[in-house]
Amino acid sequence: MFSSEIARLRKLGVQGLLFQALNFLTVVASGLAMWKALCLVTNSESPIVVVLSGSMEPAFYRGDILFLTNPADTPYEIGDITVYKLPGGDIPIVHRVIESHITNTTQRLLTKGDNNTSDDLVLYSPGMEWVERKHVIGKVRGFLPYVGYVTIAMNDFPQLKYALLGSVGLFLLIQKDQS
Amino acid sequence: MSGKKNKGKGIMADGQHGQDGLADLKMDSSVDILASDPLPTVHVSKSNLGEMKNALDDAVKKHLTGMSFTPSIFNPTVHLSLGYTSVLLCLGSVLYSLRVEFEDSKPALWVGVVGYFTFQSILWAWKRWVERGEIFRGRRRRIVKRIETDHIQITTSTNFNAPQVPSITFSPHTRPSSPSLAPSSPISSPGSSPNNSSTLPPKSTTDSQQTFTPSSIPSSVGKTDCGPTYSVQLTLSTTSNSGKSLLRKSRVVAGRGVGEFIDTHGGIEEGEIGRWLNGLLIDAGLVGAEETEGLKEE
Repeated sequence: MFSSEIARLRKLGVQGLLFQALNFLTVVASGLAMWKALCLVTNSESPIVVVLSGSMEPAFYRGDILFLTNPADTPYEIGDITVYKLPGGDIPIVHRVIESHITNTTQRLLTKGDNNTSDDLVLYSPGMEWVERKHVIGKVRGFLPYVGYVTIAMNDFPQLKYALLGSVGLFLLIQKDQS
Repeated sequence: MSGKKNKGKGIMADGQHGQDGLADLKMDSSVDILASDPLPTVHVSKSNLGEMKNALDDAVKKHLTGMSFTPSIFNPTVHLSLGYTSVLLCLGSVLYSLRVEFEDSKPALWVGVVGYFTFQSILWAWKRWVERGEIFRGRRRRIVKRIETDHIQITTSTNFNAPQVPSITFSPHTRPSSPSLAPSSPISSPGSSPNNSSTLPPKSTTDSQQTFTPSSIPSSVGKTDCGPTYSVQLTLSTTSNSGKSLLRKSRVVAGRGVGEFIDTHGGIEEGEIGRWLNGLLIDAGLVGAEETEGLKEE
């Protein structure tokens, strides 16, 4: 199956191979560059997140996509919806700020989900009473409903991810063989 | 050249007008593909004009390299350098940011992202204003009592207009002694051009340019529909004395429907491309082009 591909590549020559590789790398790099540019402009390490739980209903439901910014000099206010990641935790939490204290060095926040009965103190790491500014990924500026279900499905059913990748790869190979 | 043209004209008289160009290319024996041409090795999608253009460009480059032209690697080198610099900067900074905290990785990310977009813009500007569609630039040396160097530059493009009649332009340094290039018959029909050989009207040498149609009329003028036009601009110049004296310079602009070079399965007919290019090179005045094989009619 690969012999025709190898023969084709050999016929290209060094310059042709370099051009092909450059085309592929440019596609990859342009996607990455645009994502990182968005991260830099919003000052957030992940400016687009998916809501995973129902703790912010009726504002946000599971499967919504949220757009975040993290303005460096402006402190967060009570009522802002923040997305933060606890040290040692890997999933981001989307909750509202209900208390805020500004210290010399940083800002300390207490958060609570709209749909939860109690505040987030139980969620914080043992000994931690406040979320600090450095844990916050950003505050919510806008959202898109339902679109995030694709990501949730891919994470809950990894077979879907492999099936998608496999079918894309197969499609590419089939296209080449036609010629 | 007249042999090839006669083949086209003669077969037109056989009454095979009514067939569609592209679909019946292989079955229509009036197409100028010789039985002695090599079978197509490259196949492209007939619906993808970009792919077709790239394949035709490759065939043109291959043919010219086969005519002993050494390609210049300056333009491709600059193109690749700019491209790889931008890509490696971007990928490097992204990989670095994966290992470090976001706040610490920000300076590197700025460098990577801004560098990527800057170099991509420079590359775009280079492709647009310097390369300008040029696909091949090369030279070769001949020894004719002294060393003469032929320089060739080919620019190609595709469009959806009808293929234009080829036009040649000669620089004022043209030696006026070639019999077929008489400027006193600017609209040359094939029979009349060889008549005006020795005497040139004196004012022709003071003209800044001499432009006229060559003796090879493209056979696609008579074909009904050969798809989009693949047009080629060929600049040929000959220098000697290590580039200090320009002997002659000419420019040919010609086009043909894509369907004349690509068969029903998308195969690229390199023999046909070679013959067309040889015709253009002869019209441009390339010394030694008449002797290349493929021109003589079987």
